[in-house]
Amino acid sequence: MTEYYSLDKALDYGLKFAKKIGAEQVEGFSSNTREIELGVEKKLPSLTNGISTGVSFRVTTKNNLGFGFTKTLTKERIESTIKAALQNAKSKGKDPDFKTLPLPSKKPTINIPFDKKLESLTSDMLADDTADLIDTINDVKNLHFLQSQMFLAVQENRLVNSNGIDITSKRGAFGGVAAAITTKGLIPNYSFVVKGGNAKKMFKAEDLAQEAIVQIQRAAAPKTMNFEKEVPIIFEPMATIGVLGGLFRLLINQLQGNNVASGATPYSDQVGNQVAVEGLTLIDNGLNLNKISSSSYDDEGIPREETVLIDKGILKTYLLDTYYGNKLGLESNGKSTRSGMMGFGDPIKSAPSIGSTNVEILGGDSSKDEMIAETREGFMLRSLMGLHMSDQSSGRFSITGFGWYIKNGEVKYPVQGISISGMLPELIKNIDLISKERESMLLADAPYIRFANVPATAKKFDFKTRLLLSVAKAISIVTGKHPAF
Amino acid sequence: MDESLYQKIFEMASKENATYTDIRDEDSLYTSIEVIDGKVQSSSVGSEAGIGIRLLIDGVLGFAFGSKEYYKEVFSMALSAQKTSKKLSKDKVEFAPVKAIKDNVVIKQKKPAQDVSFEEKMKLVLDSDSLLRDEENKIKSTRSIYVDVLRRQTLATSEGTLIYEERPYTNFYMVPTARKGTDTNQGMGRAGHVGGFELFDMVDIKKRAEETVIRTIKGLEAKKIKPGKCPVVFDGSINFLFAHEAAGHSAEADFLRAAGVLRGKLNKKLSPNFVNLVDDGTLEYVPGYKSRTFGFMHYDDEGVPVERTEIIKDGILKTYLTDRSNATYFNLKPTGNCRAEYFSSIPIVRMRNTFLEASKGKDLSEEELLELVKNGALLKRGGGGQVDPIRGTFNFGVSEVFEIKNGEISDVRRATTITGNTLETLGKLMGISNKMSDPSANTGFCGKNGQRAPTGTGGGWCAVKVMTIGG
Repeated sequence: MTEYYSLDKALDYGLKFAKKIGAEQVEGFSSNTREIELGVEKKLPSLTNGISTGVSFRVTTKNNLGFGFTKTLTKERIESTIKAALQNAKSKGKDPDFKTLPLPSKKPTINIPFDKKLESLTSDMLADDTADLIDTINDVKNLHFLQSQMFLAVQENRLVNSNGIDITSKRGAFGGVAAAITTKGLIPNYSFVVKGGNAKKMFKAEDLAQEAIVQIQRAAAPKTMNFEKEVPIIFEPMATIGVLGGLFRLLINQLQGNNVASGATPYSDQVGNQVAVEGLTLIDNGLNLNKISSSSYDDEGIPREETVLIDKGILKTYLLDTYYGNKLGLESNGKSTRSGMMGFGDPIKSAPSIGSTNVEILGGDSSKDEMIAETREGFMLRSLMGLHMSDQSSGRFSITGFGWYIKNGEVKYPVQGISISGMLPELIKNIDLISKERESMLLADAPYIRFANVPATAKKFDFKTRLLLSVAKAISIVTGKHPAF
Repeated sequence: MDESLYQKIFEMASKENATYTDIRDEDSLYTSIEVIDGKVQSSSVGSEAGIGIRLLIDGVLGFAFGSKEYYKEVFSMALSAQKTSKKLSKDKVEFAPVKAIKDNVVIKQKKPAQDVSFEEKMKLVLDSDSLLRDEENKIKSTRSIYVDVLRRQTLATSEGTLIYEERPYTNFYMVPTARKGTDTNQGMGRAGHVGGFELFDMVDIKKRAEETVIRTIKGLEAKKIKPGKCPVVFDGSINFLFAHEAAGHSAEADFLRAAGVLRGKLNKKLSPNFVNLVDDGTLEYVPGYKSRTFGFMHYDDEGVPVERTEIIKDGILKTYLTDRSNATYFNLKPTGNCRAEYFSSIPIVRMRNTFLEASKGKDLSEEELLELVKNGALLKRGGGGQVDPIRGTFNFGVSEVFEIKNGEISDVRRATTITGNTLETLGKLMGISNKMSDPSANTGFCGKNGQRAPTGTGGGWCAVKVMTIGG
């Protein structure tokens, strides 16, 4: 009969076995994640309960690294995983940039407490919250609940390496996404909101429902329009750095040490230079007490920190782990990550690599209302599509979004299909207003930002499409039910 | 395959009055190698294993996953998920009937990737990466990524279906970056198939690398295309991108159950008569090419045999893409589109090989399409895309752009994006060529609900009356 090891036994055995077969240094990582994902699509729920467990190893020889993972905790599979990882390391030959796996750090650490209340939450409680959320949205005239997803994850990790690091940690994530649709106007429209944090108090389904209602009411009765001009564009915080794709995600990518080291970014050798307007300060804060990406240590055992990347427009440093810190002659600032909270990736399968934690953009001295009032003609954008197709190396982007048309200092109406394009490194030198007010999002805190001049295009639906929409609208008036929903 | 374990789970399910149970038992193998600027930057080997259990009781599904040795706990979690879902369910799940199937499918690798040494794989990636340089040193940075996956899964259902399948994927990317001052242009070359390491005997990687380098440099030196609206011809890769992202996602029944632009449009005319939108899981090879398409498979993850699904036939929307429950909901037949990325993923509606083709005898040659557009843009090599199936809008990357002047291919222009509305674009198709493109260069990973699925494949060129081009 097959013997399955516990996670601790698998780690301990793996570390010893790696040394026995010739690894110079070895790091083991184990993870046990219990998760609940409760989705509802209109009327149909879909609930996943799961436990994800496994181990991964980084082994070194000849100054190089090999990585392997397994979710089958048998002696045979652990051995074959480590043998293959070590073979990889040997085959790669000497890497002059590799110095060592992390050593125990002397930097101070800050405790990010695990909220034990998360362990008392059940899928039934999430279902009750979801039922209330659906009712709250459906009770509003002209609004319909479209979909929601509640998530709860509790992750227990252990990281051990042959240099003396041995860290156990427990982290939690609790939150949700909700979307509502409105059939007001000719074109049905929907809007979604995301909220959550690392503690029970950080998320209330009622708040999610209320925010979804606010957002969909703002987005109701959108129009399409023909437009082709350079105009000021106001980015709402979600469009700037939202979890589902904000423009500054591209900037964060360009500030990652791995991209800097390979020259695949305009910011290599730019530390100390003015790269953005004076009003822009960009921080990666791994110690924000309320966010799901916060932890005392990064995923290779270096203490997390609050890192100012751009200070008043001046580039200060990059996002670094131990390897790229060495390579660039800098120290790691604790940005090593293994993806995996909330279903985004799998920490067991992910070799540690550089990633942002919680991005914070400091507020300025304007306000959202002032920005609108000072815009003679332009758009305010909330959601974007197509960011992942941008040229990461140059920052060239061309994206399509949803937002509002502004004319003579007033928001006129919502608009679908606003396309903007440009070069992000130039654009961040072209910011003319930053709001005092900031929005707290799942992985970021950001203000409203106005870019002074951006080429924007939009296209009005053709006659046939408008006719089809009119027919659908007429059907919805007569039958009380919209064909598209 | 662990039939005695599956039987134990079925018996446990039967005691809970489950009307349907399925078990996906997976033990898959992975290798990846990433080379940056001629140096192996990262590599990974690993195995992904576990079981996922779905239970259907009283018209409500519950799903859970975990390690196989803890199958009793996984079963309890699935039962708990079902009970909780029942509180919220206002729509009953009913599976369309299908024939129980017992099968053992091993898609052959002429040169199994798992038998090839790490050294050989690494050499291939390093050698290929070195091909991404140019004599004039305009390419400043290179990145090459190799991935092989052997998906090994058993699907067992309480209806008697028992399918073991081994499906191998081998995929390779080449990403050179050209730079001039602060201006850069990133290129992309791909090679991939359902199969093993023989991919590199079938595809001339040297030639593909050289072509990628030339395109990348030309793209850097080219002028921008004027943003705005114009008629376009697009190539087979953008045919795939449009058919998959814009039209295909809009036809997925699970999306449509909630909302979407194609809801309520079955049997309605959406396109000119010559237009067909096809999603074909049975398409193993494209005539003239040796590599298997990336969306080829035998069964979906509910054990339904895949088929060639004509979503739009002669311009008319004929069906949605379905899994078993949504087939019942829309009174359609199951099309074999239910897929899950891993044992830990809940199965959802996904595509396979998706492309537009012209009705028999109505296809045009590439030259005829250029002539039809006369003056506009030729868009080649799709670079990813995104669609909003509810609003019906899409945004695609285009890596290679040419002007069309008087029906001839003219000046090269910079990489750009195109945006549009799905229904409008379907209605504005002017012509389609049925000369399909190289499937090894048209491999995709579609993302939906946090899951990725390998999909294909390149169709023929198409002409559209008007498209909005980014800049």
